[in-house]
Amino acid sequence: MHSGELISAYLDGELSRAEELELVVHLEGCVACRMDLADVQSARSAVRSLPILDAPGWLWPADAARRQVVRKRPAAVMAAATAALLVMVIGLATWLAPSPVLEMEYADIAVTHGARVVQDGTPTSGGLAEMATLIRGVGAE
Amino acid sequence: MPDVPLTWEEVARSYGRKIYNFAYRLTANTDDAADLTQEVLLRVKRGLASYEPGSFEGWLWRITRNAFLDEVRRRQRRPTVPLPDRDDRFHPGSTPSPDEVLAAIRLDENTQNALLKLPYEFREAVVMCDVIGLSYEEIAAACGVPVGTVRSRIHRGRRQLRELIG
Repeated sequence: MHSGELISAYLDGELSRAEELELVVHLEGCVACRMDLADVQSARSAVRSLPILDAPGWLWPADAARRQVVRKRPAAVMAAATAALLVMVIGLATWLAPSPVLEMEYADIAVTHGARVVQDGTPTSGGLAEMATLIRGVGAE
Repeated sequence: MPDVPLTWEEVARSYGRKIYNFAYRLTANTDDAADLTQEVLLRVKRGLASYEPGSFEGWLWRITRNAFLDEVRRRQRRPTVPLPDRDDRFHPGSTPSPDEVLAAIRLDENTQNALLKLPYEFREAVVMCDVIGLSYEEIAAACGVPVGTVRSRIHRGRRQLRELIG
């Protein structure tokens, strides 16, 4: 009787002590089982010598977390851009707001150059638009 | 082997590479292996909350096996056989000749091709034993079969492999 499946289990250290003794005794007298052992051992070694591969880094939690940060990055950029735009708008609005000094300058310029200050359409918010109006008025005289 | 996994991150760090290699040796496809690993880790994450202390290895590899079989059923496509991504057997500092490298790659290819030709139950048992390093008992728990069946599958798988490798 050949030992068959006991051979692989023997190589893997999965036999009980009694089974192992039984197999060793059998192998001493059985050429076929010794050949079987050599074949199985060869296949076992071939699979065990296959390289252990590295998985893609993005599978691991740390990298996955980084990927989430990367994915969130556009949102952060949008928030920063919004904040910057807000600052610009506030700055621009402050700059564009009519000031007593500017109003006085209009009057001075009109008096000095005899220009007619013309404002087109609805009242402007002042600043750049009013300056453009003023310059146009100066050119008209 | 832990009876109670601490966190999903620790499970991923400790077992992710093994899961990936298990998947790769069953499919010989890096993309499929990565997809499967990701799927297994997701299932582990969902399952950890309800995990009851016991055989963690058995639980984990049962999830892995089920995820693999689900994926196979879903895709129903033949695996491809690319070259290995990398050969870790060459230690840093050693400088194998190009012929040695090619010979090793050919051997690996032969073995991988032979693995793919094994009946699934044999391939799975051989990979779990010889690539992942699970005990027969752990394989039995993962596959839901008696230890005697595992013993038989591994032995018959190896004998077929030997014939296929030549």
